[in-house]
This record gives sequence, C-alpha cells and structure tokens, in this order.
Amino acid sequence: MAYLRLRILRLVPVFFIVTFASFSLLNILPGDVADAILGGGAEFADNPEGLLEARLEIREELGLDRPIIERYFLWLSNLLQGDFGESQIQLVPVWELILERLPVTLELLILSQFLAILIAIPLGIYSALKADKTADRIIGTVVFGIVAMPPFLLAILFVFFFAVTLQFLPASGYIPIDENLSENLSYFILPAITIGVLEVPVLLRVLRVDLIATLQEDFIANARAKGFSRMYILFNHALRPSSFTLVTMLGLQFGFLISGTVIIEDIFALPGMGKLILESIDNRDAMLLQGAVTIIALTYVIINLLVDILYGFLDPRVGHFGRGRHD
Amino acid sequence: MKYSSYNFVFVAILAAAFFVSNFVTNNSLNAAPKKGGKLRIAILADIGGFDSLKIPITGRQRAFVMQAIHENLFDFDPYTSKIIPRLGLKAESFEDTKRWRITLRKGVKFSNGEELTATDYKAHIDRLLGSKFKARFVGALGPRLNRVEAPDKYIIDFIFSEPSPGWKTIMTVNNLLWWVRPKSYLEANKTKKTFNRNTVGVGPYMLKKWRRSSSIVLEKNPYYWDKENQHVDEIHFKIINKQISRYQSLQAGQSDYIWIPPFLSKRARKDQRLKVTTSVQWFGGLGIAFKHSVAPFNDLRVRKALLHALDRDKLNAVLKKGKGKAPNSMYPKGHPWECKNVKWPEYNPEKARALLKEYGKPIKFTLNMVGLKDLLRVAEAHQAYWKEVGVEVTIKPGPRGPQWGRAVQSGKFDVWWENYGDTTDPSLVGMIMHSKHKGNRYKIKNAKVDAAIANVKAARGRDARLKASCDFQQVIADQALFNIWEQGKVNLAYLPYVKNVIPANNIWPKYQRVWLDK
Repeated sequence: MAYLRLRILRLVPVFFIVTFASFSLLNILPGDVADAILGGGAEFADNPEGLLEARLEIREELGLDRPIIERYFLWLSNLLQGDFGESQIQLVPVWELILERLPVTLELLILSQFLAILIAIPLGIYSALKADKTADRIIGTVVFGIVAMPPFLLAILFVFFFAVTLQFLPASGYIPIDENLSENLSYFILPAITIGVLEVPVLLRVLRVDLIATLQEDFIANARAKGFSRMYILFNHALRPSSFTLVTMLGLQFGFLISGTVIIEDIFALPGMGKLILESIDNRDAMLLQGAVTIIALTYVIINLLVDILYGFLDPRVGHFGRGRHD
Repeated sequence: MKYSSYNFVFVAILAAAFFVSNFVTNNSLNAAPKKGGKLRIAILADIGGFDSLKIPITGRQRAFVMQAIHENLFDFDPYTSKIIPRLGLKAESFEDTKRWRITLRKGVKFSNGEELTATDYKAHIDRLLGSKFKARFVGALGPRLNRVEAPDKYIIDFIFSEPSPGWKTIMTVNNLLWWVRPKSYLEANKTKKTFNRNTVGVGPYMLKKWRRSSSIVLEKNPYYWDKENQHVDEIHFKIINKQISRYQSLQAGQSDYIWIPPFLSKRARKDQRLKVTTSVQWFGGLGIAFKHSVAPFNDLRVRKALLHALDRDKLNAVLKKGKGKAPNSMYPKGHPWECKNVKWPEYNPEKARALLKEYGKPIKFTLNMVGLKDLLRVAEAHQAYWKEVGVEVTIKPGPRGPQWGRAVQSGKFDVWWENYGDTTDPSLVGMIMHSKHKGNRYKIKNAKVDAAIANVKAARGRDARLKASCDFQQVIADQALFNIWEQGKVNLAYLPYVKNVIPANNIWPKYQRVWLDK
C-alpha cells in the first residue's frame, strides 16, 4: 500500500507539470480562441475595426485578457471542485466532450493491442526458438519493413485495398457501439489492424530478445535435464519471466496511443481523443485542451501503475505490497 | 423455310427487346424524380453549432449543411442565370435602391409547423445587427444594411445606408442572414444552453441527429412548401477531415456525393465509377497583393514591371499542376458579371527590366505566403520569374487559418498572398480599394481607382453596371493594383445514380434537390 501511495503522490507533480505546460504552450502559439471564433477575418473586410472590437470583446468575455497564471489557477480551482469547464468553441461542457471521445479511442486501442498481441506473441516465440535461422531472419526483415512504413501510408494502402478495391470494409466513419455493434466493429477493423500491425514489430522484437536470454538461463537447463518437453519449458518456465519488457512496452504504448492515434483517427474519421486534442489546439480552445490533457495524464499514470502491479504477478520476486525488493 | 421464319421472328423479338431496354435506359435520365432513399455526403469539418451569435461565421461546411435546413428568399438558376423566387415572390427597390421591399410567399411553414412571416425575418436580423458582431454581419451583407422593417405580415423591407443595386442577386447567396428561425422559437430558446445545438427552419430538411465531429442526419421537413423539390428521405453527413479519405469513401461506395478540390477532380474524371460536375465559384480568387503606401510599391512603374515579369498562364499552371490560363479580372469565366475584354499587362521581361531601370533603385522584398505546399510552389515560381528581371524576393511562409487573416487585416505585410472576397455582384467587388474605405488593406490611394469605384456605385441597370464594373477591372489591370492568378471552381463528384446534380452558383451546390435512381 505504501508503494501505491507513493505512486499516487508522484502523480501530483506530474499533473501540475503536464497541465501547466500545456496551458503555457497553448499561450505561446500565435493567435487565440477569439481568432478561431471570428474566423479568418475575411468577413470583416468591410470594417477591420469591427474585427478588432469584436476580438477584444470576446477576449474579455472569456477572460483571455487576464494573466496566464491567474487563468491557470482559476481553471485549477474549478477542476478541484469537479468542474472541467466548458469548451470555448463548442460551448459544451468539456467533460461531455471527453466522454463522447474517450470510448472511441479506448475501443480502438483495446482492439489494436489485442490484435498486436495475437500476432506478436506467437511470432516472437517462434522467432526466438528459431533464432538466427532462416525463418527468424525472414520474420525480422518483414517486421523491420513494417517499422519503416509511415502509419498514414499503411492506413491509405489498407483503405485502398480492403475498402475501395474489394469493398469488404468501410473506408472511414464511425457508428457508436450502442447503436449497432456489428457496424461499429466493421468501422474499427481497418484502423485497429493498422495500429496493431505497426505495434507488432516492437512487441515481437522485445519478446524474442528476452526469450532468447531466458532460454539460456540455468533454470531452463535444469528443467531440460529433468526431462520436461520443450513446449512445457517454454510456456511454464520461460515465457513469464520473458514478458517484463513486453508488458512495459504494452503499457507505454497504450498510454502513448491514448493521444497518439491522431493520424489514424484522422484518416478513418474516428472521433477520438487524438482528434479532440488536435481540434482544441487548432482552435486554441484552452479549456478543452486542459481537460483532455488531464484525462490523458491520469490514464497514463494509472496504466503505468497497473503495469507495475502486473510485474508482481509475473515475477513474485518483484513485490510491491509487503514482499520482495521494495520491502 | 419454316426454320428461317422462326429465326426471323426470334431476331425481331431480340431487336425489339434491345430497342425497348435501350430506350428505357436512356430516358431514365429524364424520367420523373424518384422519391425516397438516403443521400450520404462526406463533409470536411463539423458545423460548430446553429446559433450565429455563438458561431459568427458563415463557414463553408456550416453553410453547406444549413442550406438544406433553411432557404433563401431568391435563388439563382445556374442554367439560365435568372433569379428565381423562392420564399420571396417579388423584390422591388425604392429610394435609389436604398430600400428593397420583398413580398413573402404565403403559407410557408417552419419545420415546427409555424408560418413564416416578416416578423421572423425582423427578429432574426435585429438580433444579428444588435450583437457585438454587427460589423461582421453588415460587412457580409455588402452595401451597408442598416435595418429591416416588417410593414405587413408578408412584407419585409431591407433598408440600406447607401444604394444597393445588386441586393436581389446578393439575396441568392447562402449565408447566415437567411438562417431565419420563428420569432417565438427565438424568444423562447435564445438564452438556453441548448440553443446552439438545434434549429428550426423552413428548408426541405430538418435536423434529426447531430453527433459532434462524426455525423449529422437530416430528415424531411413535413411542412416543406415545395414538395416537388424534396426527394430523398434523409441526408446523412459524415464528417471526414481528410480530403483523400472523403474521396476514398466515395470510391468505396460509402458516400454518394462530395465536393472535391481541383487535384482530386482530375483523378475523379478518370474514374469510370464516378461522375463529376464543375462550375464557376462566385467566391473570390487568389493573387499577390501589394501595400501601395510603401516604396517601391507606391510606384506604378515597379508594379507594372512586376506584372510584366510574370508569365501568368504558367503560374496558373503551376498551381493546377497542368494546363493553366490566368484570369484577367476578378470575375471568373462563366460568371454573370464576367469581363471579357480586360487587358492585363502581358508577359514581357524586357519591358519589365526597362521599367525597373527607369525606376533606378534595386528591388528587394519579402513575399508572405500561407505555408501550404501548393501555395509555396506558386510563390517559388513567382520568385523565379522576378529573379529573371533582377528582383530579389524572399519567401516567408506564414500560419494558416485565422492568424493569417488577422495579419493581413492588420496591414503587417508589404507583399502577400491574397484571397479576395465575394464576387456575387459588382457592388461587392473591389470596393475596399477605395482610398476612403475603412477596409482598404492594400492602402491604395489612387484617384483613377476612386473614380472607377464611384462609377460602379452610380451605375443603374444591368448594361450600365456591367460596363462600369469592367471599366473598373481595366483600371485594376492598368494600375497593376495586384496580381490575380487563380479563381476557384466548385467540383462535385458523385455516384452515377445521383440525379439532378445542380452546378453550384457560388460555393454551395444544392445537394438538397437531388434524387437517387436506385
């Protein structure tokens, strides 16, 4: 429990740093939300003074004329009372917008990570067992080829092949899960495959390297000497201790992808968190950006905490709750 | 013998069947419109909302969606170039076109069942003109709308602070002025938080569902007055931000109708599965503008030299990545106010060098350009042409979006990429070039320009207005006020079963009138 408390305490400075950094960075960017509300100004061509007056009025109304520190602490105090504020552009509570978008990203991540694990673990095991043989080299070459491919290119190729040419799957769009499950899944297949395939190389390589190292350990030689089968040794003795880096990578990737799937969301027109953040930056919508960043920071820390807890199950020597090296 | 007559009968039946099927197929284009179905359109961005005081810009996507929910008083027929009555039956002008009286069609109902009357227009426009965005709304309406009056249930007066001879044409353009809601609905809901999330209009469709950043669904307005022009049951807008993804959704058969940028229109024309319709857009063009109040752009010789140095057709081709033909006036080809005989300074590097020599000082400046790949390519082409005549140009890429507009409006640049505004009517075109105009961002102080603008304003009647307008365009060319390099087109791509695709007359094609032959 002490470990858990420590991790939660660590969240506090992380939260302050992340939220203040995003608040400040948005202020450094040229223009503000008043510009986004008023558009390019072309419609004020007849009267540019009108544009300036309207801009000043909007800035005052939204409190943008106040110092950044004051605005930050105002936002913070509202947040501590459970108020995420209202989007300055969409005029909708930030929390409502996040609740609309977060499930989209989570569904995309769960499906893509599931897919990545489904491909990476068997291939990683096979690659480790056949280390430095032809099969391992072919797998290595293919995965490096995939790593070198930009996500957008892979996405467009998938759309072209599966949606445009074969017309098997939808090219882009979104239907909520509660509206139609099968249609919802059909819209997620291509983006999930795109992210999943791009995740495979990393997961496969770390599992392969760890597994090769584990298979050379003394306890494996001991198990072999006891006459256990190769498969039994692999799944009961070698796989679990070789999964540390894999689990760490999965946790990191999951945290990163909460906000990092923006390109895929964009191409497949999925209204997820990545797109929400991009829109809020484009519109200089500070309230929305702050809300989204807060949620992402929280998710990131929680995922890492879960990964740490998982370590304890993977290797009892790594104990956080009264046993092991943290005692 | 018997065998050959059977053969003959068989061939005759086949020929008849072929003839009949061919006749039916060919004539299905002219067949009566089919009712029903779902039209799927992929749009580029969400609409933000329905309250124009919260979202005070017309916005391309927003207006595209709104034109099916609301309707204008008059419409422009792109086939005949005539103005057609819609919600307005008659438009009469008084007091030298400072007052326009519109007689409304009776019996038109909003989607909530209330009748449309002049008081609804008055309430809506009063709200716009009474807001902090008044300047913006007046600007968008052309020549200074002062107020509206409703002397009768079905009569609405638009009163201007200066003559507005082109008001009847301006009224055909889809913008937020025409997104009228019932006065009672406005009064009851305008202060509610949900006001921006829904609307009531008189158009053929009404809002059924809006899923932010994802989709908008419209359904038939049961009270629509013109049922003959209301065909599909629902219109589904899918929001897809990427041009290529929108295009692929059409190719994959998941959208029926989209508008596409020029680079995709070429590709779409080659695709057997798609149809493409292209029309002239009334909404401005692209060019390079100069600030006339600073040296060397305050010297006509320099401005002329800069234009003589450019092969404008080739510059246009650089933008289009193909054949190019530069426009010679602010009105595009095929526009009702097109000026056919304006002579622009021709491509003549020798003449350019001679003029620069006469000026006698080295020319060096920064060309400010929005940092988009295609535009920067055109900027580099300008730079290369100007370098040929000894002009040193540095290209400075700038931000996209509102910051660019604000920088231009604030007069920060000396030479910049210009996206000039509405070309609906001569009373809107180039007026800001007048020396006394508050929006004169080019800082032009030129008696010839002022006189030409005065002539445009004073002219009455189509012929006199066209002449004055084209004379003004010639002055723009003679005085080398800026370089026009491109005027946009509206390209629509759709699947073959989409019928009655009307070319756009401004930038918003009327998808709400299509029907589906499937």
